[in-house]
Amino acid sequence: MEDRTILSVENLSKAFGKFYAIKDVTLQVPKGEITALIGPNGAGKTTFYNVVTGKYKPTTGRIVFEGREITGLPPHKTARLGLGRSFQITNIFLENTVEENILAALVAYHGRGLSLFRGLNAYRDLKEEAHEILEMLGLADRAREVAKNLAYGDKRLVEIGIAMAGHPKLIMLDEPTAGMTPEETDRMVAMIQGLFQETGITFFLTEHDMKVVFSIAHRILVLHQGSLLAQGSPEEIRNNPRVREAYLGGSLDA
Amino acid sequence: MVRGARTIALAAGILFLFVYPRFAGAFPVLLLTEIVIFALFALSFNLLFGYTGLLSFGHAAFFGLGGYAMALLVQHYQLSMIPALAVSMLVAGLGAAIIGFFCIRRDEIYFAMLTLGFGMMVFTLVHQWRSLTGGSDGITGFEVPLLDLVVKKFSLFSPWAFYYFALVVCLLFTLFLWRITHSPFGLILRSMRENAERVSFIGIDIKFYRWIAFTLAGLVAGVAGGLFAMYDRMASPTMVHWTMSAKPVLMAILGGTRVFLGPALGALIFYLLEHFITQYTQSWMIFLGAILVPIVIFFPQGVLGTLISWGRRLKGREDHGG
Repeated sequence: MEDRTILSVENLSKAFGKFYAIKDVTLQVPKGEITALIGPNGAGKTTFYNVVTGKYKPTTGRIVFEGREITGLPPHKTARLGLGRSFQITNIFLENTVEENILAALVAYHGRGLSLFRGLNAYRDLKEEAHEILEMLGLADRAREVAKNLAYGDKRLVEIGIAMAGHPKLIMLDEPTAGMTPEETDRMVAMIQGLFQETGITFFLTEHDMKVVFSIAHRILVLHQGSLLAQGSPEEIRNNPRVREAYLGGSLDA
Repeated sequence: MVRGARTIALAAGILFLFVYPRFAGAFPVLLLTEIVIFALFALSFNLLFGYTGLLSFGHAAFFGLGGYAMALLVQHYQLSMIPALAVSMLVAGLGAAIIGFFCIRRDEIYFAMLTLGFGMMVFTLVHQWRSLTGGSDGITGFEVPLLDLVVKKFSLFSPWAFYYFALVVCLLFTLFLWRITHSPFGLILRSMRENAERVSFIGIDIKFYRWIAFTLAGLVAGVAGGLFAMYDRMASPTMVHWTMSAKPVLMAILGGTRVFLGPALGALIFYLLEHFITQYTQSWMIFLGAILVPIVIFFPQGVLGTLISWGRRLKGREDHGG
């Protein structure tokens, strides 16, 4: 069981002053599955992301990634260990081209960032890899477009592409369908499923849209007021009375 | 089409820089020397501003360090031109590495304030340390060193000789900056400008990269400062004053910060304006301000940036209109 776990979080808390955004959370993320973290607004999901990926230092607790303790490591170190992340708000390099968005992540992953005297164009291998990623995302024909000119849904795909380009072992998506139209949401869900099947990367995501969660997650964790309320298969979560109560009934039936 | 036009303009510009002074009098050559030096200074500033997204108000510190190092080396150690310039560059680079170590801990306005603060400290140090720097008098009374190319030594005394030397050095370092900005490192810098936090999440230690950029910018500013001290036959506190730090900021914004050669064109415009306006009035800064304000409001991409985007639009129309 132990080596099937990619991320293990033990008694994790994060306090801002006296307020605990997450409190004593213990959970495991199994390797090779899609795990979803759900919870009402303000449940602490984004804080959880920020603590695990190193943006914030936890107040207490341990984080172990691939058998290695990463508690308190800064983002650039957790990223290099294979922890990829996308953001709830569109967080890409807007004035750069779509290709450059992906290339930046590839440059970082392949350790070429301190190459000062060779033109970027000489790195054919990186360009090819960027092209493959864009092809996978269906954005190959937009490669030379400045990212800010993309439609919202495409920007969100670039966001995923940047995370994928880091060759993550675990990819943590923070509300990948936030603000999307139903069509864009469907495309994103298909994209995540496709990437999962193609690459076998472990996915971890938060999501508001319960239809999305129940259609793609193998396992669901429920966060409520900073604490873990429940965890289990989609079926178990759907039938859990405490979860139903936290969500005031309705929205889980989607 | 746009690319072709750009290549032609660039070739014409370089040709002009090499050919025109052969037929020009001393005054235009001196003016052109100053423009070329300040173009390099502004380009080095823009590695931080346009490419990395860090607005430095203290870039004159490294311009001045280069200038003072150069003057001292020439006066006390009689180094010839190239070794003196190389050491001055390293002194400025070292200064930038030390000051940058502290400044890059913050970004945006806090970074700007830190650079301003350090710039003021360097100015005070230069101004007060009379035994070394000559205080407000600066360092003067040295001869422009020989250019020792092993097989032959050249005097750089004449304005023309010094101009060509300065031009070649500035072009080489411009090429150096161009190379950097078009490398994978340059892409990381531009990505940091767009979104520094996101860059840390792709596995880049942004402080380290900012520090490298800061040091490189200081290094090149030191070369410009070293040249300027030789051109001016003096190293004076004005070289490290905060008004000197403002010059590359104005030049870069005037010419365009998102286009590689924007700041260089900005330097040219700045000096031409200064030259023509001061023929009529002493208060040329009023006119500079009056020109700068509409540029910032109506052409935020700067002169070169605006020209290029017009060129692109024109091309788009041609392509669509047949």
